[in-house]
Amino acid sequence: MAEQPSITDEQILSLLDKEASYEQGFKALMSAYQERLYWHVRRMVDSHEDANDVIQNVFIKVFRNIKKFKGDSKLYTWLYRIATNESITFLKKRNKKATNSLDDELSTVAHQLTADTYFDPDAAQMHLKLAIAILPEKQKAVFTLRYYEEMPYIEMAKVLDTTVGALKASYHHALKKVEAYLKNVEHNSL
Amino acid sequence: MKKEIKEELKIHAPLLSGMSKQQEGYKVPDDYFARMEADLWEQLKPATKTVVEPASHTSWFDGLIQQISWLLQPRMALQLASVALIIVAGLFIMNRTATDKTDALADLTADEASEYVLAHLDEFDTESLIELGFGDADFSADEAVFFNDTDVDELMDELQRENIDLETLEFYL
Repeated sequence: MAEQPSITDEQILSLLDKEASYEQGFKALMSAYQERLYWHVRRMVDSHEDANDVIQNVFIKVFRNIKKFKGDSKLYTWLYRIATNESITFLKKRNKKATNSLDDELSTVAHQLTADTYFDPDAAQMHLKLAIAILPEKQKAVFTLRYYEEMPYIEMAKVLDTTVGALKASYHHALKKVEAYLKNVEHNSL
Repeated sequence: MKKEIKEELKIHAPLLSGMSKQQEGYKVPDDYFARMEADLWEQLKPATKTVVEPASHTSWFDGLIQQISWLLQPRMALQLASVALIIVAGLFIMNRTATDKTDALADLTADEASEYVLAHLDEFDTESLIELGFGDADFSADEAVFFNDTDVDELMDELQRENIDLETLEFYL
C-alpha cells in the first residue's frame, strides 16, 4: 500500500471545514490522495484518457460533498469508495458497447491498451492487464484493491459495502481466472 | 507486500505471485498531477468576494459630469428614452380619460339629472337623495311657513265669515 500521508485525515477535514483554510485543506487532500486514487482508477479503466475523466469526476464529487462526510468511516475509505464506484459506473457504460464474445472483447481491450500512448508494458504485464481487463467490473475492483492496493478485507468491505466472506470468495475467483489466463498464455508460448 | 497477501497469491495463483508489480507500464503526461490540482482548484475554489473600492474624493461637479456622461452612453440613453416614452404615453392616456369624463358630465343639464334620479329612485338610498336635493332637508328655515297667534285668529274669523262648519274644516286640514 502507498505511504501514509504526513497530515492526518482529521487535520485535512478540519482545514476544509473553515473558509480561511479551505485552500490549504484542498491542497493537503490532493497531496495525500490524488496519486493513490489516480492509480487505483487507472488500474480499473486502463487508459490514461479515461482515468483522467474519471478522476476529475471523483474529486469534484469529493469536494462538493466533503461537508456531508460524517466521519463514520475513515476519509480514505470514503475516497476509495467514490473512486471505485465512479470507475465501476464508467466500466459498465463502456462494456455495454462491447461485444459478447470473449475473443472480441480481448481484441478490443488489447487494441485500447496498445493505442494508449501512456502505456508501455513488457509482454508479461500486457498479458496480466488483459487478464484483469476481462474480469467483471466488481471482481476487477476487488482484485485491484487487494492485489495492487493491498487493502485489508475489513477496509475493502467498507469501500465496496459488502461482507468480508463475499470479498474473499470474489478475490479467490478473480485470482483463479487471472492465473488460468496466464497459464494459457504460457502454454501457448511454449 | 503484506505476508498474508503473498501467501494468498502463492497458494491460489503461483504464476501471478512471481510477477513484479513495480513495472506496470503505466505513464502519465509531464506535470500531470500538478496540473490536475491547479485545474481542479479553478473549478472548485469558493467564489471570490467582490472588493468594493472606496469612493475617490472628487468635487460634486466632477461627480455630476461623470453621472451625466454615464447616462449619455448610447446604451443608457436608449434605456432612459424608453422609460421617458412610457411615462409620457401613460400620462397622455390618463389625462385623456379624465377629460372625456369631464366633458360627458358637462353636457348633462340639471333637468336631465333630476329626471334620471326620479326615474331610478329605487337605486338611491335616502342619504344620497338628500345630498342630491330630493329630501326633506331641502326645506330651509327661511322657507318654512310659520303661523303666529294673530294669523290663527284671522284665519278663524275668516272661517266663521265663510260659515264653514267643523267637518268641512277638518276635511281641509
